[in-house]
Order: sequence, then structure tokens, then C-alpha cells
Amino acid sequence: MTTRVTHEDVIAIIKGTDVRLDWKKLDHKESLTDQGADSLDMISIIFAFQEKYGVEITDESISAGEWLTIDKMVINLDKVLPKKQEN
Amino acid sequence: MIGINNIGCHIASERVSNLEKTEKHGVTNTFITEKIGMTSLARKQSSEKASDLCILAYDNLAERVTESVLEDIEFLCVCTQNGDYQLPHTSAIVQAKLGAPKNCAAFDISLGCSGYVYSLHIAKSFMESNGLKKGLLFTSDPYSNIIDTNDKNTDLLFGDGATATFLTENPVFDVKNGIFETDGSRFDHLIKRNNGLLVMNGRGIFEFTMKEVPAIVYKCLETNGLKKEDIDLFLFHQASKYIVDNICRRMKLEPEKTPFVVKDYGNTISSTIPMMLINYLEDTTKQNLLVCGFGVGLSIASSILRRR
Repeated sequence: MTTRVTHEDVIAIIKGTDVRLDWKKLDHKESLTDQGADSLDMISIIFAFQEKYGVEITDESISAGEWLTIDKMVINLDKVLPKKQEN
Repeated sequence: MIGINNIGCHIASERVSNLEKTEKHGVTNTFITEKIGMTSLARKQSSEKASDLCILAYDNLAERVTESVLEDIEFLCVCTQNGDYQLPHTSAIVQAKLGAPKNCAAFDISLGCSGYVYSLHIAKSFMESNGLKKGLLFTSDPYSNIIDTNDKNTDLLFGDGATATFLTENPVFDVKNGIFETDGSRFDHLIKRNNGLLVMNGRGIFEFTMKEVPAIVYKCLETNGLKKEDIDLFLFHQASKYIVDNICRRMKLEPEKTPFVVKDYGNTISSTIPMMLINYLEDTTKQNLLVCGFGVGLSIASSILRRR
């Protein structure tokens, strides 16, 4: 599956925040909260996504766990980005 | 022109330890020290009311000034949203407890964390337009009355305290032009519900702060003809270490210019800024101070204090 947002994009955005993770051991499928991020870190990460892409990420999707892993972030960012114009 | 002559403060003497709440709230010591930034919170006696804290802050002010503060006091206001009663206004109770003259205007200002900046401007305008020369501005918002101790979002943040600012025509700091903004669409991000308990949307507050604080600070600088480099201190409301650190990082401010001082007593709402200001009243190396309060409303205000 090809997405417009890559894993590298997501990781670069997270690195631009104040969130400290063990980047060498980062597991894309594991929850970031299980890899050292706390609740405030997650707020910072979501906010950084919103600013970078100009999108709105809902409380409901966060509560549903849709933004916990790098993999999910890549997929869900692609979903919330505006659809491409059809010619 | 009316400005800040002196400030007294009272920080409630009892402490509750945040480090003893880590298990209860599922957080780490690091989270408390590095993110919340408050290892303990000041707690008033349960019988103490907002007006009692005001009187204690006044007592501290009276020790700091040589002239008689109460003599000829013509203005008194209390910034609070947790006053002694829903009515009457707490400022009337403070006026009576102080034994201040009857020819003294007294009213409350209902604002939270933006309250000190707003109140300074309201007090200054009211006093100048009515020719009043000496006034007292109190901040006293005891949140311990409304905290749900099982709520991680609010149980680790707020401390009890009060301040008393002496406003005169011979001030240490002049109050320059302010900027005031409101986003009422987010009113429920920090709200006392009908059960009497405070509820906070931490994410909403963070996003509001990160977007709006830098913007209003730049507007405040511009309206006062100043640049970031002209400011000796940025006194931000002490919401949490996380918030202040992120503002500092986002605005590329020097950490030495953005103090965070509430480690031992917590976020005292409208009192955080005047409690910091006390430390700089006599520090003449600090000429231009930018103050910025933000919170309940959601409301935000910023102003410049310039040493006379």
C-alpha cells in the first residue's frame, strides 16, 4: 500500500518536537507510549501533525487508539489529508 | 500614571506531594519533575476562603512598603472565580476585613489565568479615569476547593495562594499597552461543571497555548514598539513546565528569560505572574518585562511592564 505520508516523514516530524524516544530501537508497530512517550508527548506529536499538514485530528480518533503507532500514524495521516483532485 | 508600586504574596503553607501520587495517576517521577514541573502543591486550610488569602497577601505587602498602604486607599479589586460566596463580591469582604475606608471602590473581576494582566489594565484605567491615586489589586483563586483528586488532568497542577499589588502614581513598573483576546468557542476546555468540580481538556489547552501565546506576544511587542531582544524577561503564566518549555522552544526564547518558579507550590492561577514579579521589583537590570496570562475562557492577555 502506497501512502502520501511516509514513515520517514512521520519520524522527522516527531523528531522536530521535544519528544525523546530511542530512535535506533523504534518499533513502528508498537505503541509509542510503550516506547517511552507519555500522554503529553502524544499531544505534542498530534499537534505537530496538525500544523505540518493543516489537518484536524479528532479527540475520538485519538481515544480510539488510531494514533498510537508509527504505522497507524502513517495510514491515518494519509486518510485525513485532503483527497487528490480527480481530473 | 498609575502603575505597580509593590506586591505582596501569600503561598499556603501546607503541601501535598505530587511525587506521592505517581502510582495513583499512573505517571512516573520523571513526568512529574520534567513535564508537570511541580513536585508539590500549596494547600490552604479547608476553612480558609479567598478573602482570607487576600488578607495574608496584604500583610506581606504591608511588610514590604514603608508608607501606610491603607491610608487613602480609594480602589480595591479582587480577581477570582472562586470567591467566598457567589454573592456578594469578595472585594467587599476584603475591604471590611482590612478596615479600608468606605470611600473605596470595590469590585471583583471574574477571570482565571489571564486575570492579572486584564486586572492591571482595568485597575489602571478605572483609577486614572476617576482620579484615584492609591489602589489594591488582589488575585486569589483557591482551586483546591474544586479539584477532583481522582482526575489526573487537574490533580497535579494547582496550588493555593494570593497576591496583593499596590497601585500608585509613583510606581516601580509602568503598565504599557496590552493586547487582549478570547476564544469562547473553547469555553468548555477548562470548566467547573455543575457538580462543582473542575474539568480540563489538556490537549485543547495545549493547542490553544501553542497557537495563541506566540501570536499575542508578537502583537504585544509590535504595539509597544519593541522587539523580542528588547525584553529582559518573559513572564508567562505558570500553567505547567511543559507549557512554558514549549512556548520557550517555539518562540526560540532564552530559557534564562522565561522563568519557571512554581516547582514547590503549583499553578496559582491569576497569582502566578505577580508572584514572579515580586522577585524583580528591585532588580534594576530588568527594564522591560513582558507578561502573558492565558487560560479559562479561553482567554489570553499580554502586556509590557516598563521600569520607571
